[in-house]
Amino acid sequence: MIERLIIAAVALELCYGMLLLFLLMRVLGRGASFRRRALRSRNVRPQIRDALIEYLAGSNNLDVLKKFSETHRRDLVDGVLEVHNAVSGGARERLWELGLDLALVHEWCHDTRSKDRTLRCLAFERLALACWFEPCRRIAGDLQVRGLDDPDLEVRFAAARGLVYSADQKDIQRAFELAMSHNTLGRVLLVEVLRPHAVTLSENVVPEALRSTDEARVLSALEIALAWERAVPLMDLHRLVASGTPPIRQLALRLLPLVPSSPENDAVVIHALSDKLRSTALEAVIAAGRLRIEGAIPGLTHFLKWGDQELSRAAADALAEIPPRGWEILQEYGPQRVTVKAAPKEEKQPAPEKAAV
Amino acid sequence: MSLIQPIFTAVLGAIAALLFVVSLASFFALLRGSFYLRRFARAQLRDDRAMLLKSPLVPALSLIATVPDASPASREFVRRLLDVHYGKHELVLVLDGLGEADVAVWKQEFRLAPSRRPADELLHAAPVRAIYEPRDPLRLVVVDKDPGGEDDSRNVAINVADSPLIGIAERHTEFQPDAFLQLVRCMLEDPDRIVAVCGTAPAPHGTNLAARFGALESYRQWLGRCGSLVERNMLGSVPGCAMLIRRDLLIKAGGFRAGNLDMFLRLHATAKAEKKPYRIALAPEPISYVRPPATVSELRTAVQADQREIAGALRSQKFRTPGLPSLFTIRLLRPYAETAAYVLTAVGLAGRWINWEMAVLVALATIGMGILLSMAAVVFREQARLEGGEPGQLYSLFFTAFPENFGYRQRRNLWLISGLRKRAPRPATAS
Repeated sequence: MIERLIIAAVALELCYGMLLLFLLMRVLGRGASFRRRALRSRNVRPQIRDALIEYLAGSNNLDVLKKFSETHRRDLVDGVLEVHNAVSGGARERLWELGLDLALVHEWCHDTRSKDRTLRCLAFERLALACWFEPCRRIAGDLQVRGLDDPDLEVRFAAARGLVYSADQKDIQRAFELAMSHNTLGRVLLVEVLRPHAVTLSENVVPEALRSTDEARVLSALEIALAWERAVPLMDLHRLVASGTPPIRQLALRLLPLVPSSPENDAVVIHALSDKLRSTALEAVIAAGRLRIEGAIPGLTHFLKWGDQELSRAAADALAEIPPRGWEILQEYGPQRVTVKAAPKEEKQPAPEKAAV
Repeated sequence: MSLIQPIFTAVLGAIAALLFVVSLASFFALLRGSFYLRRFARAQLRDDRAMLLKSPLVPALSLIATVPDASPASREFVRRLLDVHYGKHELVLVLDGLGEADVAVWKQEFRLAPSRRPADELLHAAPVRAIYEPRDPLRLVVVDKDPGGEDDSRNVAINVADSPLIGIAERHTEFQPDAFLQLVRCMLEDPDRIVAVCGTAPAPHGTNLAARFGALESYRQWLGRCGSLVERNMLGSVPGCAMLIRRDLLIKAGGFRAGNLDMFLRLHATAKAEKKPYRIALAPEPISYVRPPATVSELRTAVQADQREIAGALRSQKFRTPGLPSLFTIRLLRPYAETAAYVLTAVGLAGRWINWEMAVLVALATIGMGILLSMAAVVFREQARLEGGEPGQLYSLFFTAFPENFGYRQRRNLWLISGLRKRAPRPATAS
């Protein structure tokens, strides 16, 4: 009996060992080919870079580059992408003309239809760079619109990034919609490319999103507008501060200093100072300082005197932004006269006296 | 006397069968982990770190760290944490019951001045003596508190931290400055569901035997405890990983009580209790890893420290907590079963109660399967990588499986058993 068990165990372990040896040989072979390729790339990359620079400097001799495109296509693609980041203007246009001449762009267009998700994503990423050049956009534009419907999220983001280079408002709007409707990572990746279109988007697309009844959509739009970190022409933001849910109100208050000032905006900030939620009141204090709202001085003074440490400090910062009255109050209520409370345990904040606000 | 022989044979046969089953299960866990990690590696195409670094949409991070002294090593560790690349972050450093002289060293090191920063009391912890902030523009908050141990200090740091994310990098690990950017990337992919992220991958190993044993250990851990468990949403912390955890859930889970693993298992329990879909994600990149051991003694310290974490989790958690049954089998049942098998075999052979065939079967179930598991870990790890490794290193690790299983494995079993009983502090003595 034991002998049989030993034979079975030895057979099992031998099979297992043979399989592992086979796999070891396979990974060694793969490693060797990877190293050979890396070595070849290391040798040929400087030559490709020199040839590209020579071409961008005005040489019309394409023979060397054509030869590289046949023998070291992968390295040539890497070289083109590397040079793309280093040049601008006319040189970049010439680079992508070369991309068209050597059919790199066409190859990537073909790859966008691949079943391999990685290859598809890589193709859209590269096309996103190539679409900086208008003739490339003409070739790849439709594909990128189709890419927005790809089942893979990463592919959709890559397609959207290329689409944003298009001058077409509809395409830019599609990219914005994609940024709003997916995860925060997508927003992080798309906000940068959408920033040049912030003003245009703020004229129609963003206000429409802010009017939505879907809270998540409104929050996403506000997050994107905030992440642009630039002045945007949003006119109806005061409505959100007045009637939104607490997270919406807080984000809208944060965005207020970046939109054109108006009496309505000032009024909602002053009103938000008396908000029962401490975090909303804190945002209002900060906004009042940035917008230099003189009408908020009584409310800020209240927080300076009676607010907890964070609110009191924020109120002092805000008052310092509103000279001369704010400065006078800071002098009047020097440190010895301000009662700073311990940090609050919960969100509820005793509102400033209505009369003061 | 006539009864002893069949009893010995039956007991040893049962143990050998159990060890075969456990080894086969481990093999499939390694294989599964390898497939997952390879898929993950193939999916990583873009380097988004630059965008994440400057984006205001990335949530703020509070790194927490505790130090037990003011030694140069502790100060160097804090300097490394201050060099972390992240958009909005701060370091909350807890001085756990340090004497006046040590506190003075820290004050001098960072030109600390008393701060009026409040400390919440959301997690129960030892009283805070004072909070300091540097006069220099450093994103640092230093909390001086009464002694309470590492878990207590971490709870104080969580109370003082005011960011939605808590980051932890342990002192005895090598971590990359951009480790937390890579971790937050995973979290941003699904911020509503992902409650925590661990990031680690095996370290580049040294050439001495202890380092190679350590490398085999880390390969098995990475494939089995990381790759295989994360796929089933059972991931716990592993030695050397950098961690990013949502502060609100950490507080709900009751903070730290018995080490990282226990806390991760409670995170699973808390998130499950909320009855919402959740996930603890893995960033299987070499962003943080345990330094390769230079000696067998260092290796023993590391193995026992990990074993103490597991023992702590086993004591405080229900047995059916996700991931715990497999840890119980690999780290508790197997060392005991193997050691018992060796002892019984030796006694049985000495007393002529078993024959040599039974001893061979036991050797096949322990040493034979152990060699194959270690070899599998080397090969599967290599398969999970996109680029190829050095053939010399690969061969040397592959055949290190032999010395590992003839001597080291048996000693390691004894370390694991003794590690279960010890309640000494962890070697790093600081987070």
